[in-house]
This record gives sequence, C-alpha cells and structure tokens, in this order.
Amino acid sequence: MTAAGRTRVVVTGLGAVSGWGAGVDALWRGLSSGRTALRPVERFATGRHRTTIGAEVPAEAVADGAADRRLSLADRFALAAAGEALAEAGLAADELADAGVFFGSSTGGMWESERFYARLIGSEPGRPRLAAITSQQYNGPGDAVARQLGVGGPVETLSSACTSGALAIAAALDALQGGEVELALAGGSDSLCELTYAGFNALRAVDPRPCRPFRADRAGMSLGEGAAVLVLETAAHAARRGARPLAELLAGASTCDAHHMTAPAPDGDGAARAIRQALAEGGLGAEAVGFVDAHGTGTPLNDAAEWQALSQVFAERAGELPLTAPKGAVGHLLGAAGALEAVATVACLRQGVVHPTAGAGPADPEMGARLVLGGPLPCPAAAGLSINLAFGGSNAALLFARWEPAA
Amino acid sequence: MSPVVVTGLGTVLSCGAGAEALAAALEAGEPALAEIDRSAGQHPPRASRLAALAQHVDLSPWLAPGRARRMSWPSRYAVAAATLALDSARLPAEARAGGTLAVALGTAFGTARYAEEMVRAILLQGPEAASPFHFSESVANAPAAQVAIACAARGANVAVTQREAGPPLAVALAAREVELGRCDWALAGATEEINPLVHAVLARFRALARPEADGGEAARPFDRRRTGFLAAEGSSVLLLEREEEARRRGAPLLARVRGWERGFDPTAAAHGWGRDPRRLADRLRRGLRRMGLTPDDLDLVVSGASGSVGGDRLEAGVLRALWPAGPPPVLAPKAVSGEYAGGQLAAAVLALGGRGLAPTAGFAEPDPDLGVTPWAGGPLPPPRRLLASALAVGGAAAWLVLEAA
Repeated sequence: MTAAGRTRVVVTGLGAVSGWGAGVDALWRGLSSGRTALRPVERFATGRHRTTIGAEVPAEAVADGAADRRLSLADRFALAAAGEALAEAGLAADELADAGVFFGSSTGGMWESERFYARLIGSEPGRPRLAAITSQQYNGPGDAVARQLGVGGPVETLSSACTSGALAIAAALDALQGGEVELALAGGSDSLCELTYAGFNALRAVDPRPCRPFRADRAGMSLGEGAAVLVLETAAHAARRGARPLAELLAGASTCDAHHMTAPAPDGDGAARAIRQALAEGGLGAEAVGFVDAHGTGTPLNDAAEWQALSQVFAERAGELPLTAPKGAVGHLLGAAGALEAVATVACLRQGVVHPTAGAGPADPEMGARLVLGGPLPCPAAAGLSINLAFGGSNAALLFARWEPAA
Repeated sequence: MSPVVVTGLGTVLSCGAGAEALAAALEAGEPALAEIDRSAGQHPPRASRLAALAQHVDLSPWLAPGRARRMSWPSRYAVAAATLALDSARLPAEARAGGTLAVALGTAFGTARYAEEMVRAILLQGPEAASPFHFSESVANAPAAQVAIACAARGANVAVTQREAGPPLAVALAAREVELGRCDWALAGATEEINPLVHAVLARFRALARPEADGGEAARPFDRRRTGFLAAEGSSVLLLEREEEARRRGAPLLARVRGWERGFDPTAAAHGWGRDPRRLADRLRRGLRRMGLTPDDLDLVVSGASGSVGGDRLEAGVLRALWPAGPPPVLAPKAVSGEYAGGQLAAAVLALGGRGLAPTAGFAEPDPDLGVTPWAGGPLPPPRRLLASALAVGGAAAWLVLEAA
C-alpha cells in the first residue's frame, strides 16, 4: 500500500510492435537513434492524399500463418506485443486464469472491414467473406489477447480515439487498486487503414513530411500503427512470484475539455487538470516529475495546447523539464499511442535517459521547452509523466516512477 | 467511500423518448419495430427485415434541430438521453456549476452510418471525397464527446466498446469515477445506431430474429423457437452520484449501485458465444462475495438474454450454475427493447421502481435444453436487489448488482 492507502502497482513486462518492427528493443533503438520509421505507405495507394508517408509495421514483425490471417492486423499486433510483455514478466499462460485485459483501439479491424466492404459494393473484385470480418470490432484486439491467453478476468476495450491506450492502462490500474484483479495486461493496438488516413488528410491535419513535434515550423501529424502492452500487477503479487518490477504505475487520470470535437482547448486546461489529478492520486508533487513524454502530434494546435498545460502545472520549471515525444519516430498510433508512449516512458525510467524527439528543426522558441533533440539525454529521473490528448477533448495522464521497494 | 446511486434515467429508444415510454412498452410487451432499408441488396434472402429504429423520435425538446444536424445519429440520441437523465435527476446546469461531470458510454458499432459513408466515398470517388465532418463524428467516442460539450462535462470521457457488455461496463467505470471522488456526477450508459449495413452484416452472421410464418419477427428469449435478436438503436443514460450528496440535495434515488463483476470466457470465438458457463458463474460468485453477497441475496435477474440462440444458452448456463435449484424471477427486457442501445440497463433501473415488471414478451415455449424459464406469471413486487447480466459475443461478460436505495 502507498502512504495514501492505495495498493502499489508495478510494471513487470513490456511489449511493443511499431514501425521499427517487433519488440521493445527495436522500438528503443529506433527512438534513441533520433531517426524516423516514417516512410512511403505501401498498404494502399496514397498518391491522391496530402501526404504519402506512414510508419507501417514491417510484414515480418507479426505472425502470418494461415490461422493468423483469420485475425485482423490489429489483433496480430496486439498478440505479438502481449507475448513479448508476458515473456519479460516471466508469466506462463496457466498463471493468467484470473487476470484482466484492458485494451484501447480506435478502429480495431477496420482495414479488413474496408476490404470486405469494397467487395460488397463491387469496388474490388472478389466475394465478401464474413470470415474476413469476424474480428472487425473495436474489441477485437483485446479479445484476441484474452482468448489466446485463456484469461478469465475482466476484459474491457476503450475507444476514445488517441487516449484509448492510456485510458485502458488507467482502467487496469483502477481494477488492480480496487482489488478486482491482481494481474492485468493493458495496452492498445491499431492498424493503418484508409478511413483514418483519408480522414486526417481531409481535416488537413497531416504534414506531407515526417511530423516535427514542438518545432516552430511543425505542420501536422504523421500516422503510424502498432501495439504496445504492459504487464501490470500489484506489488504484492509480483513479490509473491519473485518478479522484478521495471517501474511503478502511480496514477492514471482522465478529463475532458468539453470544448470542440477535433481541436484541443487552447489554454490546455483539460490536460492540466488530468496531470494535476494524476499527481494528486500518485502522491507526488510536480517537482518530483523528471521528464515528460508528450502526446506531441506535431500539429500547431495540439503541441501549443500541451505546452500550455505543462506551463500551468509546472510553471517556470516547465522550461527545465526534459520534454520528448515519440511520434516523429513512429507516427501516431491512435488507439495504441498512449500505450506505446507508456512503454517509452517506462523504458526512459529504466535506462536513466530520455529518448530524443525525432524530426527536423529546432524547438519552437515561442514555447521555451527543453525539447530533447539529437540523441538520448541522461536523466536519472525518479518519475516520468506520459500525456495524451484526443478527438472529442479527451485527455489522459499516466504517472510512472522508478521502482523503490518500501523501506 | 459513500455508495453510488442512480438519480436520473434518460432513454431515447424506438418506443419513444423518456423512461416512461420504455416502461409502458415493457408493460405492454410490445417492441416498436420498423422496416430497415434493404435497397442496397446487402441482406441475405429470408433474413430479418425489422429493427427497433429510433430516427422517428422527436428529439427537439432536448436538442435543437440546428445542433442535431451537426451530429451523427448516435451522438443525437446520446445528447438527448443525457439531457433527459439530468432533467429526471433534477440537476440543471446551474446546479452543476463548479462541479465535475464525467461521461462513459458503451457502443458496439460506433457511428456506423458516417463510417460507411466515408469508406464508400473513399472507395468509389477517391480520398478527396472523404468528409472531415463524417470523420470527426466517426470515432467511437464522438457521442460521449458531444454529450460533454452539450452538458459541460469536464470529467473523464470514455467510450466503452465491448459489444453487448458495453453498457454495464460503462456504468461500472463511471461508478468508480464517482466513488473515488474524481467527479461529482457521471452520465453512463449506451448509444447505438443500426444502419442498413450493420443490420445486413448481423443478418449474414445469422444473429437476428428471422421472419416467422405470419411474416412478423420476434425476439423470444429462452424460448425453444428463438432464432435471434432484434437489433435496436437509440440511447439509454443513467446519472450517477454519491448517495450522501444525492440525499442532501433531495435527488430521486432510483437505485444504488451495489457493485459489479466482469469476466471473460475464452472458449468464445471472435464472432461467437462462449461455451463455459461454469467459469463465468464462478467469476460472478466471486464478485458477489466481494460485494458481501450470495446468490440468495438477489431477488430478480434482469437478463441480457435477447433471443440469440447461443447467447441465451450461455446465459441460461450461467444462471443454472449460480442457482442450481433455480434462479429468482428472470426478466428478459430485450424482447421489447431489442439488443444494443442500453434498453436492458434502463429496464433494470425501472424494475427497482416497480415498473416494467411484466412477463417476458415473445416467450411461450420453454427450451428444455436451457432449463431456465423467464417470468411468465402476474405482476411482480419491486425487487430489493437485482442482477443485471450482460454476456457478449467474443467472450466478455459484465454484471451489475443494483438495489433499492
């Protein structure tokens, strides 16, 4: 239990699939390099869009046997990330009977549904096969993980656009602290599809070049795909089975701007309230946060609103806090973004460094942020903050800390 | 922590707007069905033609037509139902000033019409034809976000997408936000849209009730003759708050959220029902223990049985495993409200107030394979404590225990 009487929850495994390929190691190497996995999209034609790039998961990164092809791409990303996370946590399937699965996804198997629909209306040749969309639902990836692992506890999918993955992690934390489960897999998964690609193009929210979070000349976002999964368990459960905590998940908080369907509130008030709530529930003062892994989409409005939120919470110290954002490297993973950024935050805490923010150009001087650029920044922080903002004004904040056993 | 109570209920369903319309439909045992547009030729032959559609319901008292035009149908339903819930809780905007309102809404298919129109435009006309308005309203959380904007709800804002289990999961999530003091009130429930494509795909999966000899269609929960469910659209929203504060402000106390349990049956295929009711029953029994209850403490089941061939079998198996000597009276309101849109959730709240406690519509011939017979007798007394059960395609399960406050 924490000083506030809360059950302590630790991270014991991480898994990721991203434009850098399968695995957290591949993700970390990619993030640390300062380079980008954004490249021309091959899955569908992009010639008539404003942009032609995306961070597609390499085909060899996920299983592709005959049985796997009955699953959606998002399902397969989720299964690969979950498998990696469980292996790191040292958990076997027979230990998961009472575990929970909490997942975020914004489109589930939409890519496969698009192909089904194209055949249904005759815009593509072939017969529309129901088997292609059995896993079409938003809940497809989370259910696929639960089904494969034989989980019997709570399974919940949250689809609040770009905060989905972070909200799923926060929901898992509540279930763990509420005594509903002792062990949970939490994360998110989304695959690139034509609906989201065309949608963000229609909104003129995309940058033809790889996105440049927090830069003065940032001109929009870039899309990615993939999955990320964290194994979360109560500290007592981890101790009982001799598992090594990688970090502690102190808090997860969410708020809404109630301002606009696609634009964040310019004053960043909603995001600031989420951060303050996470700090309060995590029992930390703002001064304890050592770095921020931001949403940082690279759109002018998002990054400015996020900076306003950080300035509200951290005041003058906002300009001293190392600030980073993975989307320049792996694109925006939408429903999985919060989960992937949570994995990156935990990795930063473990490594004692903050990964750089990929993308060209210097930080926006209007902000005065200490944007991590070029290469990893040594930062032996005790706690790191991950934040996400979404369509509909949803905000989420996750607070992680280096694991310190009770004295 | 102060218990969480339900103080408001708003519904927009095929039977009309407002909980009274649902109560009357449940008591009459009459679903309000309409022909679904099959002109696209996507339905298989001899498939369902009817659905519990809600587009005819006049929402203008709660949502100005000019604002409605800038929303998808599930957003419109949700905003109207949320406003009705706040009205019934006697919690106007001025009373909410300075407080925090959260929103959690379940949806199985999201804003299906706009998503389809967008994909259709991309495929047939090219990506330039994609509408930014359709895109922003196509995300699953658009209805929850529209509710937030309409009601100045600045607490957590979440869309729960776990098929048939979504509505109670949303209530559980919202109740936790209230219980932990993260917000003062929470709107929780479901919103859904059944467009011709969703209806056709459900028909192709043989999930829907098929036309009967007389040309009609009926959901027949637990009945030997059941062939599927009635697809329903609309929205059902509860207002939750801490009991202590609700009593202080003299709010109507419609129900107390005693607790919830969630589980998963991994034997379910992605598009099918699980086959391990004992495992789900064990999970539910464990949840009841956590609430300080046993199965004997429940005097009514508001079942999620919908007339689905496999779903009702699983539901019956869970009830039999939990109550080997037979469950308490079982109601299956989805025979009237249809599947999706949270009608069952609203029916559970109504039941605690003594409304809608009528024999299950559509039921006449017990299924000997199920061993569960829904209530078919006279009017029931209002229950003291009930179980609302929601099993989902794909394996998820959620149960709520509501009691008189």
